[in-house]
Amino acid sequence: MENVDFLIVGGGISGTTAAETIRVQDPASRILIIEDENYPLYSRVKIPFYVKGERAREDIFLRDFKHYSDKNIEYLCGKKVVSLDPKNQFVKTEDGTGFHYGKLLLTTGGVPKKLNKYKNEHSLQTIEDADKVVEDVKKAKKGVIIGSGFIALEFVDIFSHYGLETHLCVSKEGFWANFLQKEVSDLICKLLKERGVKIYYGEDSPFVTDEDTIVGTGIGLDLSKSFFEGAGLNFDAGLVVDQTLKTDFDNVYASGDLAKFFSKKLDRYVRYGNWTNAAVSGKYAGFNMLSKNEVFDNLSAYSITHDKLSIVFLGFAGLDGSTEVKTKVISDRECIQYFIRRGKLDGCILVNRPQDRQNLQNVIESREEFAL
Amino acid sequence: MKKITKVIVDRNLCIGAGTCVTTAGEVFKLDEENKAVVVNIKGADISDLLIAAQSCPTAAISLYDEDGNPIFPSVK
Ligand SMILES: Cc1cc2nc3c(=O)[nH]c(=O)nc-3n(C[C@H](O)[C@H](O)[C@H](O)COP(=O)(O)OP(=O)(O)OC[C@H]3O[C@@H](n4cnc5c(N)ncnc54)[C@H](O)[C@@H]3O)c2cc1C
Ligand code: SF4
Repeated sequence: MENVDFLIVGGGISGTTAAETIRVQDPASRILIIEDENYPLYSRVKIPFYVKGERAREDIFLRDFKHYSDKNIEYLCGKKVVSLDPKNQFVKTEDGTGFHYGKLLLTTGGVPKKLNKYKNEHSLQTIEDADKVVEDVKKAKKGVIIGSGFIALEFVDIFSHYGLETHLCVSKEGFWANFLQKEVSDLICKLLKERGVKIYYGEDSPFVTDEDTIVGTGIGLDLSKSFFEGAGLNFDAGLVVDQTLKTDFDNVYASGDLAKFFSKKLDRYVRYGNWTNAAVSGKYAGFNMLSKNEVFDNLSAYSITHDKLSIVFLGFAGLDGSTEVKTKVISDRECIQYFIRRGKLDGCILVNRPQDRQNLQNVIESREEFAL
Repeated sequence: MKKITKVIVDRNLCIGAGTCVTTAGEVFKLDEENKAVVVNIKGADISDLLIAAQSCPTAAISLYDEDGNPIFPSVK
């Protein structure tokens, strides 16, 4: 068994930022990142650029192996953690190696849900997913996307970029119907149709099984939690942490896509799945593992711009029983959907209105009464 | 570590994710095109600047020291 001062499970941007933050403050401690994938940190955000051929494969890497050794951060990649015993401060990897830790950070993100229904089905999460898409998209004539959301939009952009006949299959209620009001969903579909995308509601495209079809799925993530199930951590659609990103166990922290934290600004628990949140929460987790007790609160933002469609998610753009949703249609190409709770703006979705982002962010942060 | 005296955002790489603005809000702002611009290089301490550059999802931020040597990125 090995002893590690700071053990980080998951070497994405959140885990890497945490390790680097600790190292800046504490030059001598033993820091170990255990990462299931075989690569140094790369940018998931840049994957679509690589797939479209706009960036070389090597350009999406944000670190090389030497960087970790230069910083005296141990990087154990290609190893999966399979169990956690928080009482004895112990984790085990698949090959049976055990690690005793002083402080632990869980930052394992999630893996895309799969349909496992079609032969040429692809997800878009890892560099290896991207390699497979690059290989298959060039052989295809048609592209079928199943699902709604950001990854579905990335596939639309990729397939259109390669000149494929592009088919998008969404639920009967419309694009991203569990988030978007009908006007917003319809506007996005209209803008996609203008781009030549054919949309199917509540059914798969008849071409989905054709030999010359590539299928892209964007149906959400399953958070990677199997190795800590039964360990007594509080998981509720996210690993629940307090404002310092600490779990119910004193020396176990969580950050990034995995963590559901209490946002003081919004006075509610939130879990975000975006790069900035992952990076910044990693930084705070690093500080707090050094006992600095800094309150983490980040207002989420996720933006995507493809062709003539720009979408920005700001703050808590989600639905629950206490959230009221309203939409302002600004023109036949622009609208904003607002998420209001107890008279205050918690979040919004901006379609083709990036210029309103800063203003609305200020409104959300001000916590002043909000009326449309 | 030497002082950081030059910060450059490559507008072709920046996708407006805003990580830099969240990490070092006094230094970076998003402009009307949703791209980051440097407004005040002295707005953050060295470790926040480093974290901002290191956590940019497109490695659009380059940092240089007073002798013009690149501090980040180390991979290009
Ligand atoms: C194609 C694509 C495009 C995106 N575009 C944007 C964008 O434009 N803007 C934006 O803000 N966000 C974007 N995102 C989302 C953003 O990339 C994520 O929110 C962010 O990368 C999450 O970082 P993380 O460190 O929390 O998790 P991850 O990056 O998921 O890292 C977690 C790591 O943990 C490892 N792991 C999991 N389980 C184990 C285990 N048991 N043992 C060891 N290791 C384990 C995994 O291999 C993984 O590498 C995009 C994502 C994708 C896939
Ligand atoms: S973090 Fe990078 S991509 Fe995001 S706004 Fe700043 S420079 Fe642009």
